[in-house]
Amino acid sequence: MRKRIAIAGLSALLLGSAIRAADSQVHSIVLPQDEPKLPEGPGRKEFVAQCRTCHSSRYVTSQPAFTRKAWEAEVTKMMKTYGAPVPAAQVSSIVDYLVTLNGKSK
Amino acid sequence: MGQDFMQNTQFNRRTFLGGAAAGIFAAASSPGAEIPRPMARFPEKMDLILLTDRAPQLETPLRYFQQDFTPNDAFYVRWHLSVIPTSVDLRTFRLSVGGHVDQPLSLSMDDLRAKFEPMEIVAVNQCSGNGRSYFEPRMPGGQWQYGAMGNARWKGVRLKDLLDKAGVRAGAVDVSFNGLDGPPLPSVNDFVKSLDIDHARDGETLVAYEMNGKELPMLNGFPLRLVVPGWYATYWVKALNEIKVLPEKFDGFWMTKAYKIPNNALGSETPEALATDLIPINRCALHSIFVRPEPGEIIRTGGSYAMEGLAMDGGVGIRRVEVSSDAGKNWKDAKLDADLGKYSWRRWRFDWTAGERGTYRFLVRATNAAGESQVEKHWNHSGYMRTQVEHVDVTVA
Repeated sequence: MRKRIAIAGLSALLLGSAIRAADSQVHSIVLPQDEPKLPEGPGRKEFVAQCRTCHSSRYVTSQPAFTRKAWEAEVTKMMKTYGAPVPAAQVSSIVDYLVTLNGKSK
Repeated sequence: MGQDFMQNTQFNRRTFLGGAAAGIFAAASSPGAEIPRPMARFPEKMDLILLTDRAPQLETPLRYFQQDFTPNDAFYVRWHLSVIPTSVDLRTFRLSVGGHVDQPLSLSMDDLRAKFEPMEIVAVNQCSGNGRSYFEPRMPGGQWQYGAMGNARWKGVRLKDLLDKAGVRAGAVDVSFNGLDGPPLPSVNDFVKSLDIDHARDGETLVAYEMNGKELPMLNGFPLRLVVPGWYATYWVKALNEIKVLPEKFDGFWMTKAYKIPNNALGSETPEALATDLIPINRCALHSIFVRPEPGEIIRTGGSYAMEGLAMDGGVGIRRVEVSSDAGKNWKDAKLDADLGKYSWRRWRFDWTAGERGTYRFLVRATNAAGESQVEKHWNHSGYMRTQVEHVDVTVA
């Protein structure tokens, strides 16, 4: 068991250094696409259009459940503090969807 | 395997959402427990806990803290803006040092390695929001447990040497630091941080090209990262390519609006009385955590159990760590591992003979060389600077 791990580790090491040695001046990575699927619901279209421009929907699903008031405050913060150009007419639909996705009553 | 795990977690999430809608989980209160924490593998990384994928925020599992230095491929990841560097060509990459200086510099990686004396320092890099998920009441933000930190040996050039080479002009006030990351929209502020000129010239702040003897992983700031020992990681600008000396106070968004704490020693406030006097977050607070046991662990009765954990502060140095096995009634000294430097974390160990069957609450608290100790309760609305005495609940069976 231990020997097999050692061999696997060694080949990984050789492979890694080979890649690096071949092109040591340009260092690149490819980021995985890993966004969660979003359930249907009122406001989904607005959420996708406005929020996912800048960040993954995991910014919502990785949060604790918050009240509608707290989600409203988040959308306001994104607009006023961080500079997200969300049309005022879409705010309440976005909040609807955030509450559907990860809301709580109190 | 990571992919399967993720799909499972997504399924669980849907189940959870259904439950929440039905009110089943309305009373759930155990901090952090209800949020899915899938694993994900990003380039140059082991499987880490996925908080968000774009911008990437990846947490280090606790088990990696059972060693002095956190492996580069297990080191946590936290970017703010979603436009992050994924390719760096060292033939064209340059670090600029400019602004209020006599002789602006444009330095290649070879210049940095060949023309400046290398310096090494062991230091903890800790996110301002490390431990945020344990605050009550909860707040929005990255829901980190304790894995938004790591200890490493950083190697690079002194920021002071770069500034001296460029020749800082009289009247310099601040130095700003910008990296290769950028905002996804023109209306969003680029991530730029600053230090005051005296701090920048303290001889301990580094521009690092290595961590733990190797190049930095891309997601930790390849090819250069600012290292600000004792200060929260928000200052440790990744993929650093622009240093600017300023003859006035830096007024960028990420210093004046974000990363602010209440203007008191621990950065504390209460939900009922939020602070109005705010300052930029700065030096790391005194803190200690359990690495083993982990929450909910089951310990066998009668045997000896080797507890261990970490203690750290903003550079004073840890003098003492105590553990209580009875929810704080009695405290005993833990054994401290070797001192790796005042900016390193200090590992501690505590051998416990498991008592009778039942549930136990262990507490840990640290005291630093200035005699400061940890408080029992601490909170602010951003979930920064976690410093309170921590606990872990285990079952002896």
